[in-house]
Amino acid sequence: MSGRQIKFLISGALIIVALVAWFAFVTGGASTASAAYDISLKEFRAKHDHGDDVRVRGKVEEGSIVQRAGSAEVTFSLIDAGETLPVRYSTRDHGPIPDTFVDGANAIVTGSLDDSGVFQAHTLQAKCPSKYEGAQDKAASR
Amino acid sequence: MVGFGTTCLLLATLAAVWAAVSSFLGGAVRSTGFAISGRRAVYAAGLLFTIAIGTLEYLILTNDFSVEYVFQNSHITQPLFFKIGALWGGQAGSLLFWAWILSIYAVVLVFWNRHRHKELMPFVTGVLMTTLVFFGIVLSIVTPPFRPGIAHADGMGMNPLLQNYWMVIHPPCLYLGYVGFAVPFAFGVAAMITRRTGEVWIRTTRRWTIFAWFFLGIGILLGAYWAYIELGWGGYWAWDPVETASFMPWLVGTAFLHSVLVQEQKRMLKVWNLVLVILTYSLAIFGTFLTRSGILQSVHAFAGTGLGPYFAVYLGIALFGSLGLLIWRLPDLRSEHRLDSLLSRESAFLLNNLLLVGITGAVFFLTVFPIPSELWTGKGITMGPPIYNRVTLPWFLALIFLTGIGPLVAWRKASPGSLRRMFLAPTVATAAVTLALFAAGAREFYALAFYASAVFVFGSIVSEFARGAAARMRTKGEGPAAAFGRLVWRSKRRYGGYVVHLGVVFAVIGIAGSSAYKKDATFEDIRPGAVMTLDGYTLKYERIETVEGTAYARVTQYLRLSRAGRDLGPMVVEKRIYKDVKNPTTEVAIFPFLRPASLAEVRRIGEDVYLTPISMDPESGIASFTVHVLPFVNWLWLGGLVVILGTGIAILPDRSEKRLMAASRAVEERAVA
Repeated sequence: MSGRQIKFLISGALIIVALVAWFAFVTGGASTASAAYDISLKEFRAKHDHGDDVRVRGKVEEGSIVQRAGSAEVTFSLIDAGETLPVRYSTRDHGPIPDTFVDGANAIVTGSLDDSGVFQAHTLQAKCPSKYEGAQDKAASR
Repeated sequence: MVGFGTTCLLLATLAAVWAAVSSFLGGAVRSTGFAISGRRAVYAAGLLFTIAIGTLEYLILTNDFSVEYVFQNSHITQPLFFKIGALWGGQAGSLLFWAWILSIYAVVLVFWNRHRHKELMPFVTGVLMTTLVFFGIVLSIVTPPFRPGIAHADGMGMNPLLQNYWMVIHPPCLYLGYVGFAVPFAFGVAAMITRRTGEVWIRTTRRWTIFAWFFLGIGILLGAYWAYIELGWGGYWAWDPVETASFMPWLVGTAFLHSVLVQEQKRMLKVWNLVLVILTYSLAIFGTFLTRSGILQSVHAFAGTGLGPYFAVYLGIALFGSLGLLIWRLPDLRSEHRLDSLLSRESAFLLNNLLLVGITGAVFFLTVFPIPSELWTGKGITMGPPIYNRVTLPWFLALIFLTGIGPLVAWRKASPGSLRRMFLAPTVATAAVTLALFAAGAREFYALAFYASAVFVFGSIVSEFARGAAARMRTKGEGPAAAFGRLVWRSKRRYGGYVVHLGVVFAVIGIAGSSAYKKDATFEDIRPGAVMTLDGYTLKYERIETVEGTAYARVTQYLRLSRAGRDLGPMVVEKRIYKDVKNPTTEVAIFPFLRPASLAEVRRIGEDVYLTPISMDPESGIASFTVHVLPFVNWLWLGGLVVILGTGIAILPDRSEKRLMAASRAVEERAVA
């Protein structure tokens, strides 16, 4: 191999090493605000992740959504496989309450359980209306 | 009708099969008979796909709800525009739409080249038709658009969130882009098969590449714009898998678009260009697959429907097949020149490739991270926007600066003299403006850095236009306007490209400003008559009203925006409850600030005041709101418009094209002989 080729190979390798190191450095400090795994409510209850910032998915219990007119927050119950979780979410400093957030919607909340057993959420997502649905029985929603 | 549609689709797929087989045969044994038969089959496939898609649209427009697809995507009172859009609003329809666009592209390409590129075309046709066969199979077996259901009286209708002008235009644009990249890909594969690895395949696909890149980019921008005006969170990009799925092919496509210039001029980067076109097309297919397979849980997750394996197989064949071909043909892809200096335009293009591919690689890894992390640790970790930003921002910054450097640095080796001559003015301008901004209080590092890069690129573009026009004025005695006009006209590709870069400059200013300096506030227990203030703006809540309409009931709130005592205009927000649909829809109010009343307000030109209603009591009117101020955000959309203008210029034919193409052909014939 000529001197030129060796030079190119070495600089290429150095660039790649630098990129990988940079990447590892940046993603290493991930918190749930920036990266999170979501677990089902059932798993969450089983694990008792008190105080940890966690992403929990479940279903919005019918009739549980309470939002006082004039308030920027909402409370509801998340249910999954027999488990229930009271959740409180405020839009202050966080995103709006999505339009898809209705009774029975699949929801994902990120936050932690406070001492009174209420899940204080700092993100709230509800399943986006899917353009590409599988064979679902939509008749139930009418 | 259902049987008719299904039969058409089946026949169309069979036509594509024959087209692929006979074209490949024709190319392999050099038989014009087979090649011609293949061409005819392409026309047949195009016709049949057109009839098939026409049938589906007909079924939608005539409210035939006994067809599953029509039932799920339309209803009797759906406005006509959205009934038309329902054609690509659901899974099966959108796949049929994709396939139809491909079949039409193939017809156009085959017709246009019926007397040209006789060696390449059979293989090009073969590759395109193989893709069409794949889509035809999926449409016949996995997601048939003409599946009959119960004879419903009315349909469920397209989701109201999607019944928006931009959301209807967005998929066609994306598909024109995704599918468009199949053409340079097919030519690249054909070039490798026939060992015609010169510049012919690149020159002949130039317009297709620009066309595809352009529509993919516009599609992405439209998606962002829709998110901004419809989703109500005051943002336009969340690094969601659906977004990155389309962004990745665009990034690599941008690299390809630029890198081919080097091969045309210097016959270098041949391997790079093939790798880039293969990656671009593979990512386009991957992007199509990612949003339909259910493989990634996101807020935009779409249910899995068994499409996954088919796409995976096709993607595997396309990607690994073409890469294998590339490795086999490496001896034919040696560069004819070497890189003389790191300080050269060749080097800048190479760096451009590296940066774009690097960013794409990082984004790809972050996007699919949940999959390996689930397998590895049992937890599917999803990466959020802060990580994407932290990882990619430095490289994007370098890329923007490179946009200003590339056009100014000389080919082969930039001498100190040329560097000084070309870079002095833009660099001085950049330093001056940056210092001024810093002095004015701008301290956010990335905002300042991106503003600096924007000024630098702007200076670079202006200097290029000025230099070119001045030269014409000097040598041809033309006046400034004529010199400028003829300059652009004589070299539409280059100067059109510079206009595109200018659009990018505006977009960078828009993104930097609206990200770094965004202001938010939440207001609770606001009664009619009350006033909210943010960043010098005043919003007065006037009244609330409830109206029962035919398609939906609405609760509308009327507010009035003013600044420093000066009335600016109304802001009206609404919550709509549609009949037949569970979810309400919220309509936000966006006010673009365009008329400053004082010098201090000039920096606010193009910023948006963005109002989202949270909750309200229709009787008492008590409500809560979120207000955002997004500085410079409209520069982003303006940038998009300028990119459209620039692309329009760049895509027009240049006089020198025919001559250069003939020269490349001659070189190639000698090489293959």
